[in-house]
Amino acid sequence: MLTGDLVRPHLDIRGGELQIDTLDGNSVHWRTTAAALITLLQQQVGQTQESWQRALERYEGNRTDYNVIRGLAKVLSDAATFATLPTPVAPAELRARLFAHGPVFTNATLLQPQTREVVLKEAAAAYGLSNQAAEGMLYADRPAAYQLTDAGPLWTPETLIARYNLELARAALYWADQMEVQIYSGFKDFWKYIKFFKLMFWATPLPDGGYRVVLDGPISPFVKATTRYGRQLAAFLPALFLCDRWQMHATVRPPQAEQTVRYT
Amino acid sequence: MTTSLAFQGGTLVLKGVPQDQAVHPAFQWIKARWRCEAYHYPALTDWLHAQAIRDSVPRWQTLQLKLQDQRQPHDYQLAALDAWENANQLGSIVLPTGAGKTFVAIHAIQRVKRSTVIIAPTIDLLHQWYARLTNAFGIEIGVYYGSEKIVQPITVTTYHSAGDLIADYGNQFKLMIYDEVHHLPAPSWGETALMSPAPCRLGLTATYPEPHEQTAGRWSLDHLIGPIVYEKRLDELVGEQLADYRTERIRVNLTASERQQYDVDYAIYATFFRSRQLPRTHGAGWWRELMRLSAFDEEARCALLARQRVQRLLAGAEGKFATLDQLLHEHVHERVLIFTESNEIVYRISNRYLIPALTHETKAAERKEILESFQRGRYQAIVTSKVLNEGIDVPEAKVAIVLGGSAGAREYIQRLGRVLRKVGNQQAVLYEIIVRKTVDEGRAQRRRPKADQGDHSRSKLYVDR
Repeated sequence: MLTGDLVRPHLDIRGGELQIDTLDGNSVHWRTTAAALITLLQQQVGQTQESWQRALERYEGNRTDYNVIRGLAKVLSDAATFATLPTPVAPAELRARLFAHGPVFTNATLLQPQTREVVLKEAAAAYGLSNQAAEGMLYADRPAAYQLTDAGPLWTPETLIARYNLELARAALYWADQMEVQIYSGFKDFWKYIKFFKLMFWATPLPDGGYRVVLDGPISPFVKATTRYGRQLAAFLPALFLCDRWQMHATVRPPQAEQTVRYT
Repeated sequence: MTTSLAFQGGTLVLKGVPQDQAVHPAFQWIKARWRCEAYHYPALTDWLHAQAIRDSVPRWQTLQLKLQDQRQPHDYQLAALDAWENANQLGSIVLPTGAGKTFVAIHAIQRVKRSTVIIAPTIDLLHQWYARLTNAFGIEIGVYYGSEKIVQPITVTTYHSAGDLIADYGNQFKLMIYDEVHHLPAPSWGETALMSPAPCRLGLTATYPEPHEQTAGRWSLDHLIGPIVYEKRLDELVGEQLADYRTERIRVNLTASERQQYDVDYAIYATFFRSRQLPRTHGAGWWRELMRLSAFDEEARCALLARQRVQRLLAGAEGKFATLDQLLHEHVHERVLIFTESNEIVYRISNRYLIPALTHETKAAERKEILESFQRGRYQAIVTSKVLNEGIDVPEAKVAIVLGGSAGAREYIQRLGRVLRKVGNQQAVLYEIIVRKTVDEGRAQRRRPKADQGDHSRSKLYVDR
């Protein structure tokens, strides 16, 4: 899911209605950007997460549309796999052994006769590793050192932009305090997910056979500014997509709005 | 039909009371029931009794607690506890870092003897509360946060997870203790206090927020927790309770090439600021305005990037590392804590000197191992970014080195508190390394007035090297 800071600039509030500024899938600019990011990620296979972040930063340069770039990159990396590589010794164990000698310095001193090199060499030898291997393993378990093992689905600029737009739509619900939906099928799954996400609901039958369901959390009628249920509602949204025919509108209160606004 | 009041997801619901019946003014008719927020509960009990409505809210237990720790509270701790009890067990106690707030809380639980929830700002502090409470009472203590959710009569949680815990189990705790209660006015965090029916509440902090910082929308701290019932400042306790310390400020120079780069980037940033005058047009919100502008205004974007480069350069200035190297040589057999804001620098230092790093990335087990090994003396030094900011016990440290940084005054006091805990009579020393003639200096100046509260006139010793 996109983080709040990636979504906020794309919320457009006019006359009490919330619109999402989605990306135009036909725009050459966005297609080129999406294509460049997809290539960038593919080039990073086998590299570390840190390297991917650096590459993104370089690509961003001083472009002012960095927010979209980061959003697209978030969609890409959410679907990709960054994993730790197996090491002969757990990095934490190696650290515990080395750190018992610290602080060590490049040159021996009267009070600290062991140099960094000597300490590292001894530990490496104890595990049957080369100095270099031990050095590389020291923090191999940090997320920054995770390696990109799988770049995820085969994206095209079109599918990436479409997925990004969907994520934006869903993220608008982070700030929702109430949501009203009309559903006409798939009731069983629908109720199941309502229970699962612990939502308070109020269902009334519609004349043409469906239900109008008003959803909120128990405390949201009192605390209008609450965002506590927004996350749950956003997570709940995919359950709606299981229904064939539905309509949704929500009252949301994005951080930049004074009042709650409607989102359809 | 019998009528009753029940707890539901942070609210109280009257069951079996129709809409046309007059009820207590706290209630509102919402979704076919009379409902109100749970914090109204103490005000409702008399009314419930008069109306003969069954009260099925409280699910808290009476606890048979026996303190395993025979240490006696200090006079000021007893005074604080008495003041809190006289205020109907509602209100905040303000004590400086290192003055034993956790100990006060343990005695408060002992006095109330009912199920208690403790809310701490970070997972580190949660772990620390867990350890202290386990040792104090010798019973199973619950923890409730992201990766572990075990609810016990005494449970520790974080501000982040408190919402979920209170929504489901709010009526199982009679006493709520907010550690670092100055965090509570944050909008969604304050909701946790609205959602709990607990009639006994205790707030703990070293830095009680100013009146204008206390209100977030409808509520204020006094409203949610009660007023300050007891306050003691750092200078009233130094010497009596806290170890004395001195601050040495060390100014270093940029290298010629660093200076060149700094001047270029700083000029970009400063020129932008002078021409736009954001602080004048947008007041305290200038930072947000800069962020907003940077999404379409090329100059703003460049200014923002220049500012980032300045910060990176200062965090990694060679002079700082040369001085750090010297200081580590000087204190090679003493327990040293090194602070820097930059995660990247933390790992660089950890790697270079082979000392353990504590950051938000460090897993709970390793963090525990590092802190314990540090206390036992297996590790001589720790380098850390943010996680030790508030109230982690590392009483063994007598030397702290702060590598410059933009930490605010509040953070700085909390950091000082880290090396303040008294062990023997040895004086603690805090080195602050800042880069001469850069924004580092300005930040350190702004911090000074408040940070000095502790050592005013007694041991004010700023050494320029």
